[in-house]
Amino acid sequence: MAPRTLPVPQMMKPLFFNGNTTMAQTILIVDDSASLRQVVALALQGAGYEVLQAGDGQAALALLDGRKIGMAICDVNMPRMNGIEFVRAAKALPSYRFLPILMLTTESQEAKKEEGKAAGAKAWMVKPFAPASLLNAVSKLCLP
Amino acid sequence: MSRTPTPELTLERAQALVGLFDQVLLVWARHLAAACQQSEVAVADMLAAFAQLGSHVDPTRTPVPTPPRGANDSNPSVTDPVERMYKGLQYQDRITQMMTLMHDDMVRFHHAVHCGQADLDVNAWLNRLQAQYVMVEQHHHGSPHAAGAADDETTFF
Repeated sequence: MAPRTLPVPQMMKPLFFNGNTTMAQTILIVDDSASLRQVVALALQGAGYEVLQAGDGQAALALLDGRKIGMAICDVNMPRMNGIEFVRAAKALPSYRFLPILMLTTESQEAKKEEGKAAGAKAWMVKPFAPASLLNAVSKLCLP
Repeated sequence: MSRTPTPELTLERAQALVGLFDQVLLVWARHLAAACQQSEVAVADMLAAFAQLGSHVDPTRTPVPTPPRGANDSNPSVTDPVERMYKGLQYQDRITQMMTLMHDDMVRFHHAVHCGQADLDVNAWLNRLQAQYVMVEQHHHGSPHAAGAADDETTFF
C-alpha cells in the first residue's frame, strides 16, 4: 500500500477569526497520518494558530530551517525518523534547543513516556484527544 | 462410532495450504487497501466540509481553565457532538493504521512465499508484528475498556 500521503492544504480556512491582527504563533505538526494532521490543524487554526505540517521527523527537520516556531506537536511512530529521534535531533540544533515539543501519540506505556521525556519532550498526550485538552496544553507550552 | 481420521500434514498439504492462504490474503489485502483509501478521502471530505461551518460552531470550546485564543462562547449542545466528531475521526484514523499494518503484513507474507522463503522464522515474524502493535486495544483483543482507558490523558514533564 502506498504511504499515507493524502494531499493536505497547508493552511485550511480558520474556523474562527478572533479579530487579533498580531502575528499568529506557528505550530509544527508532525504525523505520518495526513488525516490526523488535518484534525490537529483544524483545532489549532480554529483557535488562531498557524500550522506547518510534516509527515515524519526528517521532513519536520527540513521544515524548521531557521523558522520561528512556537512549538511542535509530534507523533511517535513514523517512517524514516520517528518522533523520539526527531525530538533529539531538534534539541541538538542550537536555535531549537528550547522548542517545546508535545508528543501526541496512541502509545500510553510509561517506558515510552520516559523515553520521550529523556529525549527532551515537554508533554505527552494520548490520542484520541479532545480539542479543548489539546488547546489547553498548547496554551501552556507554546512560546510567544 | 467411527471417527474420521485426521489427515496427515504432509509437505504437499502444507504447501497447498500456504498457497491457499496466500491467495485469500491477497484478496483481503486489496480490500483493506481500498478501505484505507476510502477512509482517508472520507475524513478529508468531512474536515473540508466542517471547515466551511467555521463561523457557526466552535469545536474547541469545552470547559477549560483558560479559554484558548479565539474561542467564542458557544452552545454545549453543539460543542459536545463536535468533540465526539473529533474523537470519531481519530478513532477512524486508528482503525486505518491497524488495517495498514495488516495489509503490509499480508503483502510481506506474499513476497516471502513467492521468494522461496520456505524456512520462515515464525517467532521472529510474530515478534516483529507485535512490536508494531503500539495501541492498547491491539493488545486486548479489541476490548472497548482497554481502548478508552488512556483517552485524553496529558502528562507534562
